[in-house]
Amino acid sequence: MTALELAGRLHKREMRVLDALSEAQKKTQALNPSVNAVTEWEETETLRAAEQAQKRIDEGKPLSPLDGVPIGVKDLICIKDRRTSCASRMLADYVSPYDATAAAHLKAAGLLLPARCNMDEFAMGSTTETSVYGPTRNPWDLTRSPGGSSGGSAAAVAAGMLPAAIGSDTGGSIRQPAAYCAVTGMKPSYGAVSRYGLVAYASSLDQIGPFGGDAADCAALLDILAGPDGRDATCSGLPAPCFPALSGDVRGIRIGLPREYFGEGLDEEVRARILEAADIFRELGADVEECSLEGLDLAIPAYYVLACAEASSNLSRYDGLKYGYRAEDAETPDSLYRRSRTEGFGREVRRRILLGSFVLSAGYYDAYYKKAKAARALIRRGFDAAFRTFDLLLCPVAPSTAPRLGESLQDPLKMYLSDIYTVSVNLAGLPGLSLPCGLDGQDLPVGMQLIGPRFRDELVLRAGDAFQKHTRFHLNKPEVKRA
Amino acid sequence: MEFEFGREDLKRLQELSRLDIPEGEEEQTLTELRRILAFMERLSAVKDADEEGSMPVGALRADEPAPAFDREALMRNAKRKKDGAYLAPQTVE
Repeated sequence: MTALELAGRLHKREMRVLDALSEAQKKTQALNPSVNAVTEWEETETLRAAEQAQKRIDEGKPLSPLDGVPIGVKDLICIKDRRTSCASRMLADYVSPYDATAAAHLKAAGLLLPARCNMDEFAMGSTTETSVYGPTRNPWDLTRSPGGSSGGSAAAVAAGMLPAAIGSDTGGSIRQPAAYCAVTGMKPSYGAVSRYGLVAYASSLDQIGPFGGDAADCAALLDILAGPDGRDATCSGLPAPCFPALSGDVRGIRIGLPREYFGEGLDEEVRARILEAADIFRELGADVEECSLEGLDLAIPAYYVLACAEASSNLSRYDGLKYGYRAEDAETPDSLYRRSRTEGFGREVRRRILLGSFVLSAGYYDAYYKKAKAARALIRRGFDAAFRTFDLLLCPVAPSTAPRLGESLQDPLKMYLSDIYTVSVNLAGLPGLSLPCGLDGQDLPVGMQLIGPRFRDELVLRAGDAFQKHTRFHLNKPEVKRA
Repeated sequence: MEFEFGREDLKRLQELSRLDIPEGEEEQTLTELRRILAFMERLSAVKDADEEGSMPVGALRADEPAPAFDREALMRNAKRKKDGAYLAPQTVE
């Protein structure tokens, strides 16, 4: 059941909010030992919120189309008086004194936030294996990764524990796990959703977004999440709501297939599924044509230079003093900083901080950081040129289907390269929707990506919704093996 | 071609980053950083742009005083504190 379908049942009083919550909890208790998608289930406050939602529904005054629906929240979005650990030893016992704006919006819309979802430590990873809570496993095949870094959010929705979840996407961390788990996930335009209270990784790239059963769920959730916020200077909200734009019609929409995204390194079966999806768009009346998109070869190095540089700066706040892990018996401030950070951060986080310090250091700044910024401008110009001819772009989310657990940890560069089709969207600040478009020969999900111009999130979601109204790929669900 | 990145560079980075490579991980970290930095070398082909690659900032909020956070609530996550202040190791002899 999608989040909107569940809300429909709740609002028609065919089901009670407490029963929906209890069902989600039972399913999570049954499947989480296998999947490890949810790291904490909060009962007290959630039960109170559920009772209040039921009261509003009984009075015919729901706060939003999703009032009363329980969802998961990635463990890096602050919820007042709840633990926000970023799946790190560094913040293992951090309790947030405030709500992130996104969390406040969700609460104000009546959603229930019982579940904290697993993730890569500080969102640094593409497989949800760097978590201090252990890896999340893909509900489609428990020997495989669900993708990352929002792997817990994607897996919880795919396994049917929760109808929807919130994640964050710095270089593909919503879209790639959505693709690996056959759920729908949206990375909104940069500036659509406030990041106040989102634990920062790379601030010029980070964006909060939804996972749901379909594009309509994502539109309804994004309408709740988006909005200007004086506490995030980059956030202006969206010019128009997304849900009312879901007309089911793509006739006349011009969709480009960037040939660079279908080149060497792309799995043949993934390529085939995306091209089949392109044919479906043609049948639905869209004009689909090949096009060229400059800058793909620079995307990974530019992204990792900028993301690591920003990470090294953002994570300098963890000093062992104000909050977070504090090493015992340090005798000087310097040894307190060094030991707390060495013992509190995991290996991938340490690696990215070191890389970031390197590219920002004297003698290397011009060769790496400045060049990466120039590459970013070039990539952005490439998209601008494509969107002069096309309304949307259609391409793969990842070069292959979900990798086996453990494979990526042995080779970080290989893991970075798997982000090839997603990072450009963050570098250009664009909206990107990941949605299922079939399975490969091993019955593993394949995802496709629709990219739109900045602040045309409604158009991206409209196209995704139209596709899903005419296909059944998003209805494929895994049979999760129980531990 | 491997990037000329040696033990001294790694030591300097640890200083800059205020963190240490745990014992036994140094060799592997060196190898990984060399590979990653060598891959990033392909950026050298990019011409410097006049245009900034930064993300635009939206409208700033009005510069008006507003209530700040509750100090006690903010300090609740500190491991060691005394009289409303964070406790740090001695900085002056």
